[in-house]
Amino acid sequence: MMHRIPDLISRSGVEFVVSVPCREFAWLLENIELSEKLNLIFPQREDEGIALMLGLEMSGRKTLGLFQDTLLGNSQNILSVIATSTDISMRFWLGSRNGEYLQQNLVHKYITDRIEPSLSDKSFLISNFEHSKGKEQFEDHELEKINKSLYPSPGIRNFLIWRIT
Amino acid sequence: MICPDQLMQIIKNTTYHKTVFGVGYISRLAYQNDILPPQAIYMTGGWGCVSSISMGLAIGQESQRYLAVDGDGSLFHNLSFLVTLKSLDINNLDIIIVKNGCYESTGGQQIKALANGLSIQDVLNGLGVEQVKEVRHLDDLDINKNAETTRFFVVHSKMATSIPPRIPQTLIAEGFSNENG
Repeated sequence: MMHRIPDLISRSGVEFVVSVPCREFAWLLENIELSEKLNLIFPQREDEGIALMLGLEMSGRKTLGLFQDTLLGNSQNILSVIATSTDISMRFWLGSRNGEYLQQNLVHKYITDRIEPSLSDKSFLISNFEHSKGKEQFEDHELEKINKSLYPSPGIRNFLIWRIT
Repeated sequence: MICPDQLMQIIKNTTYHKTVFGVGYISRLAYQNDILPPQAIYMTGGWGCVSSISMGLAIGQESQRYLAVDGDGSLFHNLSFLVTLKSLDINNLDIIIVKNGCYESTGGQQIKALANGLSIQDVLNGLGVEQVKEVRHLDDLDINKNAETTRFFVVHSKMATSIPPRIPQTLIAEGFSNENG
């Protein structure tokens, strides 16, 4: 059965999904690979992936970035270029593992507490999505929230943070 | 050894759809030589990301040909893009690596690996790039629109004779607009 989320992604006009894989999105990546309407690119590093997305967007092709929130630690340079030099709209889904092990995954807690605030730019719109580990089926109101993140306003970069518990 | 201003004059007269210039003096030399948007995209941050942006452009508009111009230090900062390049089927991109053996924009610190004999061509070949040309004279820089593969040119360059001017932010932003404006 075709999964609904790749369908939502392609219906939004996104043609390219760029991902440095996050284990929590493995189920989604597998379904995206099955989609005939989406092209999946795996760069080696997160900053490289964001730069690639920027190039695609500049050529008029819509992209979705699918990363772990650890991206925020090594992509500040290229995110600063996006924040200061262009008004191109972009879409990112970030997996956050802060909620694992009763909030005792300390590395990921550090990222959430100390690095995530670096996204404080007026052109970065952060939304949270509570996600149970391994869950692949979604209620309509959940799909609505996921879908909304695929339609950034002009000049806005939507970051939907999937908070894994 | 090639004068960087002469290199920029050659690039200015090419017919690439877009040329993405690397962080620091490379972008500033392009600006100094009147290579302007929409032809030019200047990087003022994101060191090492020039080739990745260019790859995105090339994938997005396969009917157009793109040029990236980056430094040797920047190449080493993000060698991983070559692995990504190998995983994709991109044939409409040329990449010039300006080899001056140093981090010129930050004061001219020597790239010691190159001084110790590391070959950029060997690095590129080792990471799967087949089309690499060492360019020591401008006559050897046969960049044009009609190639059918991704090509690398390692241009042996002198350092700039003076500090090139800063680029106005409005021009930087103009370069980063999308094809639809």
